[in-house]
Amino acid sequence: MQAVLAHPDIKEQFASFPDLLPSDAFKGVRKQAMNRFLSEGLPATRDEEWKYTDLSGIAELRYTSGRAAELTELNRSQITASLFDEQEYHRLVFVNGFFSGELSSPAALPGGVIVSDIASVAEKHPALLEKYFYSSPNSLHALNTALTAGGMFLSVPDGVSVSKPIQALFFNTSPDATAIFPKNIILAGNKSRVHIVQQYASTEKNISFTNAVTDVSLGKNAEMLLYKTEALSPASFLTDSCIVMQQHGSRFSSLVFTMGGQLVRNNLGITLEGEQCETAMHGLYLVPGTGHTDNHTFVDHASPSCHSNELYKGIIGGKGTAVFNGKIMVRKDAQKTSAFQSNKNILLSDEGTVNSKPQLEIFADDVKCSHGATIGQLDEEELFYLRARGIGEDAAREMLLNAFASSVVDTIQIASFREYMAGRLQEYLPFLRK
Amino acid sequence: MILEIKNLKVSIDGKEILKGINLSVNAGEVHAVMGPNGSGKSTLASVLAGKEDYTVTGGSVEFLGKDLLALPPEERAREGLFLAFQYPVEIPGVSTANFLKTALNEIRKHRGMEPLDAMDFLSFMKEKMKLVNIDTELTKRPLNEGFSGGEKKKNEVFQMALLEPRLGVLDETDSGLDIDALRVVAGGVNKLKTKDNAFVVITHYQRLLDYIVPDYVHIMYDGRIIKSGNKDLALELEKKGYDWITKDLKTPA
Ligand SMILES: Nc1ncnc2c1ncn2[C@@H]1O[C@H](COP(=O)(O)OP(=O)(O)OP(=O)(O)O)[C@@H](O)[C@H]1O
Ligand SMILES: [Mg+2]
Repeated sequence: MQAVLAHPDIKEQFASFPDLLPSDAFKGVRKQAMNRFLSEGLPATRDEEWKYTDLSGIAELRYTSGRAAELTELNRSQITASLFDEQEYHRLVFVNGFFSGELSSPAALPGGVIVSDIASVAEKHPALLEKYFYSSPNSLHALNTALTAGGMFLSVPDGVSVSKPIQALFFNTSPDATAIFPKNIILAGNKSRVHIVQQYASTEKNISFTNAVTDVSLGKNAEMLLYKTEALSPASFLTDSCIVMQQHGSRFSSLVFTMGGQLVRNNLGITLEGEQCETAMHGLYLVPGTGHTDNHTFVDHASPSCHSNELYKGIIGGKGTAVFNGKIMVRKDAQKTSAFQSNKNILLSDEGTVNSKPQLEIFADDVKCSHGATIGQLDEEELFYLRARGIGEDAAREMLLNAFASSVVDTIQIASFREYMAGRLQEYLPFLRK
Repeated sequence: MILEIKNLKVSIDGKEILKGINLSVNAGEVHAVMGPNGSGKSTLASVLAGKEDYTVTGGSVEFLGKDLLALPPEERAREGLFLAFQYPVEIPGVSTANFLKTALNEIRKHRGMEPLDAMDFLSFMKEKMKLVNIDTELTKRPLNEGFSGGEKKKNEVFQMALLEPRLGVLDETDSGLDIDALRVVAGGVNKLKTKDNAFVVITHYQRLLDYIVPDYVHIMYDGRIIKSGNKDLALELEKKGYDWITKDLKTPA
């Protein structure tokens, strides 16, 4: 008879994880958060919000915290290769969930801007973080609060414009199953301006569960770009929650670019608290034949005269599966709202699946709203046209997919990053097969 | 011999559309193919280019000594076959210039030539653009997207000029062109004509053949070439209409 390994209980595992935040200030709230997680566990598919995304695979691994993972020379060069030019970017690097001072290079920043690791902020200025270790809205968020050991802390004072973008790279290298809990806090003061590139990446062999939370607030008339890339190994799990609050007249633009991973779930929740806000949500998911990507977005028009615009596109290979759920809420007082949403998908085979669902809840009457979703295959006529001009089948396919995806990449407002992503897209397309 | 079609039979969804086509095209020749709507002209062109919706149920096609029907569409193009589509598709997001550069370099590679870099390609393209008097703006736009009917047709001939095929098949390239554009396009084809290449020009109108003078004219009817002749055949057809030929077919033998 074959030995059957007892399932490592996920609650037990995380209950006995070490507290690696170098501060006593958050013990209480972290304990509470852990209890919340222990009572609820991971979300299950009977929960409507998780209907198509089954997290049970996450519970089948035994995790380490990543602290002890050794960094080989190869890992180091892989990470270095992912870093942007330090002349052009401030860089924060986290390896297996922990801040690496050695690989980071936040250069001198203008008046009063703080770019740091939350672990060191927790140690030296715990008061700055108090507001962000709050009682959690759900169990994954609670798990993040309970176990985070690092993440980006960025604070931009009123009126300050940060000229260089900030690259926050979370790179997982550990060959053992690792669970990491990045907590990012981004505070943009009134009339401030900042551009951020947030990246989750791993080595090809890495096995990890990343459960991230990013709290974002934009003050009055603040302007922010928040671009996220998720390029994880075929065995990786990522659950990410980004919570954004916008004050009067602020402008926020986001991008979520997912390529690969075993299971990726992105929650993006934006509350337009002040009037005359603008928000743009862009997404591109490239799902390989073995992968699953789920984007849940929610924009809450809580004030009048705001504008939201959403475009998510996906390419699904083989037996890959994708979910898009876009909720738009327009509250009673949010007159003169305009909200647009579009989700477009290409399935490369008959075996892939997309579940696309717009959810519009409109309680105001003076509103311009539209939404649309498409799920289709590559156009055979277009493919034939290209081939009839001498372009091989694979190249023709990639050319059309590239054209499809480019409209998302083209929204990127940082030129060097746009070019970089265009290149990544090009490189990744051959991995998407029938 | 550039092209030799022997007794080609083609069906789609079980319906026979080409019922035994025979056609031989030699280097230096221009053949016109005429025939009423639905007679199978575009089907023939599509089968030559390699469209997969059709089933070849009989016959053979040799192109420059190779079994054409055994090759995928891209190989046919690289070997030197070019189809100017009756209805060119719009391909949003693919830039015309980038598409053309990729296509040209694939074909050059196949011919054992070095790929052109961006600069060389640009000047080569400029030169070919003059041939059909096409606006530079068009090449900066996504392929055929929002092009007018005439612009699409011009773009087909422009592509043909760029890719320098051994056999150009023009499927109603004259339809939708204004009279000046027709002259320019026909002039372009005449300039591309050499003793080493050949053209098959599908058209409904004698008018085009005033500019591109054919060596042979074939009349297609119900999946067959029912009459071939020289350029006078087109003139006669213009005067007398198809009934003149088809009435013989209808009287039982
Ligand atoms: N996909 C298809 N399914 C069914 N019938 C088809 C299909 N494609 C072509 N046909 C039929 O084959 C016949 C020949 O069509 P084809 O397009 O080759 O004609 P054509 O000679 O080019 O006509 P036109 O002068 O109008 O362009 C027509 O009767 C057409 O309806
Ligand atoms: Mg036709």
